[in-house]
Amino acid sequence: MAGLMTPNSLDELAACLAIGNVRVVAGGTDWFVRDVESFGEEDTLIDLSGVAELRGVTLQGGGLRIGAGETMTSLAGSPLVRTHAACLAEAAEHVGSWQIRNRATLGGNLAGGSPAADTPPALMALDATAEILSLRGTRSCSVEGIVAQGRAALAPDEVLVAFTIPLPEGRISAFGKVGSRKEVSIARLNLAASLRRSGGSLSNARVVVGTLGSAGRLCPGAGEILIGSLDLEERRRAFCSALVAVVEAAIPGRSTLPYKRSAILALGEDVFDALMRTSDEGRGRS
Amino acid sequence: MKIEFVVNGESCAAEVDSAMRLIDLLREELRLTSVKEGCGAGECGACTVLVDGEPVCSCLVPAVQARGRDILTVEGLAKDGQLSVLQQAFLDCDAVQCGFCTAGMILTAHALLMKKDNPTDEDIRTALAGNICRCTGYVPIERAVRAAADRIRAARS
Amino acid sequence: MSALKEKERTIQRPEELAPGRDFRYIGQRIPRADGPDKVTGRYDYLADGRYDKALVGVVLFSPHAHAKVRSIDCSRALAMPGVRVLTWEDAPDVLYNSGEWFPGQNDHPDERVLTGHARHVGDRIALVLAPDERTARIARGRIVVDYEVLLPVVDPEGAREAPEALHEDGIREFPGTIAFGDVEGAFASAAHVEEDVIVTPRIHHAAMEPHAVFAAPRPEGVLELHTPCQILFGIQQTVAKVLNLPFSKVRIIKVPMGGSFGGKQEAVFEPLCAWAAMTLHRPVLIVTNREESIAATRVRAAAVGRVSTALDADGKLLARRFDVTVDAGAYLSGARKVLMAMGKKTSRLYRIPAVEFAGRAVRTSTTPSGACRGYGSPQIHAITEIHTDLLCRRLGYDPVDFRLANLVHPGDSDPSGASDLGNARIIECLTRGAERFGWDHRSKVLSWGRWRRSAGFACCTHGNGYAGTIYHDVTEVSVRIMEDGSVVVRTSLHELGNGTLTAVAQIVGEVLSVPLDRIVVTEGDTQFTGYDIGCQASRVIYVCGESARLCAEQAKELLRSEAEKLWGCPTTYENGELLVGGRRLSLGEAVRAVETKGGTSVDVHLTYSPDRNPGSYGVHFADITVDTCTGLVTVNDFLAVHDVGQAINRNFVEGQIYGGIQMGLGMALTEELAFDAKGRPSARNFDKYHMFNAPEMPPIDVLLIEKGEPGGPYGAKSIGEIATVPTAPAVVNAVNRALGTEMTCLPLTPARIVEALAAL
Repeated sequence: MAGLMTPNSLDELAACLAIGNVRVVAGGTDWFVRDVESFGEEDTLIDLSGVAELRGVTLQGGGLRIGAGETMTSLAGSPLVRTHAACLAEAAEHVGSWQIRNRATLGGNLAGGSPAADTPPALMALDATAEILSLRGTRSCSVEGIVAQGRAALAPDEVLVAFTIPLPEGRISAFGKVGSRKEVSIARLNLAASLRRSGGSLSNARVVVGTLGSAGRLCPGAGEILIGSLDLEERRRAFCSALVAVVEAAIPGRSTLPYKRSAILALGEDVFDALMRTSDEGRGRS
Repeated sequence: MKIEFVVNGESCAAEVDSAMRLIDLLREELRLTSVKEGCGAGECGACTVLVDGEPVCSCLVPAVQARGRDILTVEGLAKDGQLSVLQQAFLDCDAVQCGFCTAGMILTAHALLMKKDNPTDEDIRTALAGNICRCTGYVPIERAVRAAADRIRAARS
Repeated sequence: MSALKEKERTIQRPEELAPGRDFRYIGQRIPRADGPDKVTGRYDYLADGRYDKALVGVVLFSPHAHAKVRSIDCSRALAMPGVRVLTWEDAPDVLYNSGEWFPGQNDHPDERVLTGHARHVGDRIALVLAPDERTARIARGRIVVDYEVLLPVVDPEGAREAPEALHEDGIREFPGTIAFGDVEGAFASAAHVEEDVIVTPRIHHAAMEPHAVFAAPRPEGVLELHTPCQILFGIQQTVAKVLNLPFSKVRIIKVPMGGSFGGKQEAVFEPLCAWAAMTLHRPVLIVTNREESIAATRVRAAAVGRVSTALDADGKLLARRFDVTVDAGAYLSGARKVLMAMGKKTSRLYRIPAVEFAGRAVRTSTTPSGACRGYGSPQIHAITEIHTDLLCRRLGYDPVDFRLANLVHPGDSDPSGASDLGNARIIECLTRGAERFGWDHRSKVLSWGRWRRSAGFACCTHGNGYAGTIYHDVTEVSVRIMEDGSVVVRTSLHELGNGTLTAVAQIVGEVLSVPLDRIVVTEGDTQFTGYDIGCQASRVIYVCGESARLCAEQAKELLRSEAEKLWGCPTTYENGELLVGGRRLSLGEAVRAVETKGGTSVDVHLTYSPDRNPGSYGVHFADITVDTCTGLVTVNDFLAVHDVGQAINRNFVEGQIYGGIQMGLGMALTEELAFDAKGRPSARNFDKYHMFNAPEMPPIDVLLIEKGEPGGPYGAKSIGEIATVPTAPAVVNAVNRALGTEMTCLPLTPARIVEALAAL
């Protein structure tokens, strides 16, 4: 008979991890649908939902710290996330259905390893770092690094505890997604981008395209164009062209290429427009 | 593992294991068969119940996560044989056909109205996006939620 | 029981059918009788019950599209307490056709309850039974099957050309033709000939309740089967055939149903469940989940239709030629009937002097097709209405004017020889609809940024039963006025969720002036309710509803005449009371007196067979916007215009239309169950099978044309199936108009739209 444990704190969680052959479940949105298949009679399931330290959204030491157990609903509704990590709030707002958003966690969305996940590109665009707990202690790793390693990034006994997003002055961000429906749709393509504006100038662009074989692909070329010196219309066009080039390079020969090459144009336009709009609003306020 | 929780206002205790889903706990152990399994994958919303007031797909939730929670199924909505405003609105607007999605639909809408007593049309549609109905085209369901919201506000003022 | 035998019946006169007549219940928005139970979660479907001493069965389905079982090892499953396994080796070697609903129909039989030769992913190999579902599913996982995997054939063209036929019967295709008029001559003399090929998808019904069935052996060798089905007596004859039992020993009871749309019409799990119960001498409940319901039940048949139209110089239709292939899936099931139903529609929408319809149903290694809302009508109307728009564009005709010049008129006959079209109001649907929708301005193409906006529409027809076809159309009904004046209507109806029982209560209540909360309309139970050929073919209101009206009229007259005899003075029936001489008697008083003093009950049994089968008509208008980069289509606005004769219950009619549009929008844009070269379905669950959800739905305006249909109760005719028929072509026509494309392969997925735009 498989075991079942319900730790209420990180300390208790650490003790649970020590028994070996463990699997963890947080929101559980993938557990019975996918992960339970590989769960054996000798394994133990650890329910993370009672661990208080996995929750919370706080400003800490110049960064935004988000517990890995925060749900999509709480991220989408959090004023702190909306203000400091807009693209993450937008991504969370369009994950699955309301029922799913009430369960799905930020940690689970990354740990699940799906190339179509919506929050990893946003976390990458925001240059987030993950805090990971295991018997071997706590380590940190960039979300970019975790995404690059795919599902192998986390050992079975490793638990995502929190994410920290640095908060440089004047950063704005935006997220876009193309699925088969407006709501409740797995992304065919998603795009997150952030940049800094100070005075009239833009800098530090990070542009991430998701669902091209991995949950996030950094596009430095598109980022350079975003903050470059072209006039607005030309910049918009060049930004979209750069994204098309990213898609073509990422999935050459795939049957989905013709579609994604076209759809990325829409995402490029929408995200570009959202960033420039936010940028203008920012200038208007200051 | 034995867990304790509240269902429809009553304290309950049940033995759960790692393979048990919340829907199994509710249907098999507690015989709350209003909770329907339409897909078993969190895609149709027929199994929606409220956990601490939030709609969730009970086919995805490990039963153990009911520990210490307050769960509402549609059996708990009518008080003293009196239908809730929303249930009555579903009848009045003909928002029910085959009925299989109805309990989940009503619970999602109930959760919405607890949070927003004057939802926009878009709020209603977005809230119901995870509840699939094959019979009604959603039109009368949206009408029912709108009507219930109006009636609840009218009764309050 | 005093059965009135005379077959004479009164067809209501047009003036009786006129709109605006004051009805007590007809045309009103009466709440459905089962509503309170459904909103409180008390309406128990089959899988919600607990069955004493029953075993719960789950089917072991083939994971391969084409394979033979070399061996099966059930030892680890059988080691579990209480587990039983029945395999194809135990099963009777009886072939049947799940779509055959009457003995002697001779639909080609090619299916067994279990098989060692799997012909699609989801074919039934074994039945695993345990005291509960969880145990049965675990036990099923412990069975090891060794398959010899064979080459599947996933498309009809491949099946027609493959070196070997897929079935041992050696039959590659089941052809069908319909022809009338001088087609050759028409094409030879035509000023214009236009041709298109339209492809419609395989669609999952997606009734929210997955399939379930319960069977139990009862005393005296009776097999009792509880099923949420649509054709009790069809299930009965199939089960009787498999078990080799007399029909009288097979009792089928209709139980609450969580939607069907044709998906629960054919005998899918019923014969297996019945056989298992009889074999094990135990009650058996078979349950399925969504994945099993998608792969292992039935789908809407995919079709490929080539249509050529011959026109004279003025744009009048001279003739049409069709070549249609229907993908039957792994077993023939109802696919050839669907094919023929498609052909039967081709002469009932436009005035057309000559048609040649040639087609075939072809078996492949995919999920069997079968009945699905409209029974071929959505497919054939997609073919003809998309083609009609394209030919108009090529020849420079206005699509409204072209149709108005060619559409049928009230009273037209059907040149194929089928039943006359009746009060066919399609021209009124189109003219009033075009005006209400603002077709003239909405049909213009707007273009801004990456978006294009325009509109489209499509016309259609559907039937009202089986009169004038090769099938018989018979129904029985009983109306008994009880000793307290309440009424029970015994029918073999099936409530599918559409409000049938309440609608019939309204009809009976209207006749008898009895409050609806004092009327109960039963569903069917083959041992206690009369014969009916099933809730199919859009016949329920027009045929069964009319039979209930006639029966209620006879019950009313029986009570009146018996009372008159008893009291010996002029007696009339007024407002739910009897006026005997000057004296008012309640129905209950009258019935009690007639029973105690007159020695007769007020119970009328009627057998009814209609002699008409008019057309129902409809036009859908869609206003859409396409994002030319993402290929995503937003349906902005929608108008549905339907010639329903007379709405019995306005809520139910609108409900059918709203739901029909939801299904049709899916057929147009998102829903498709495709199979890869290995015969694996593209979707196992709803994560990859997207139906329209609430945010996708457009606002829907409904315009009902109610001009009365002779032969229908209070002038009513069908709506449930036709509601979904014109939706998909209306949307496709709108998208093609907005983009200048000629897309003919449904659904118009984002990828297909992007591809079509790239090819412009």
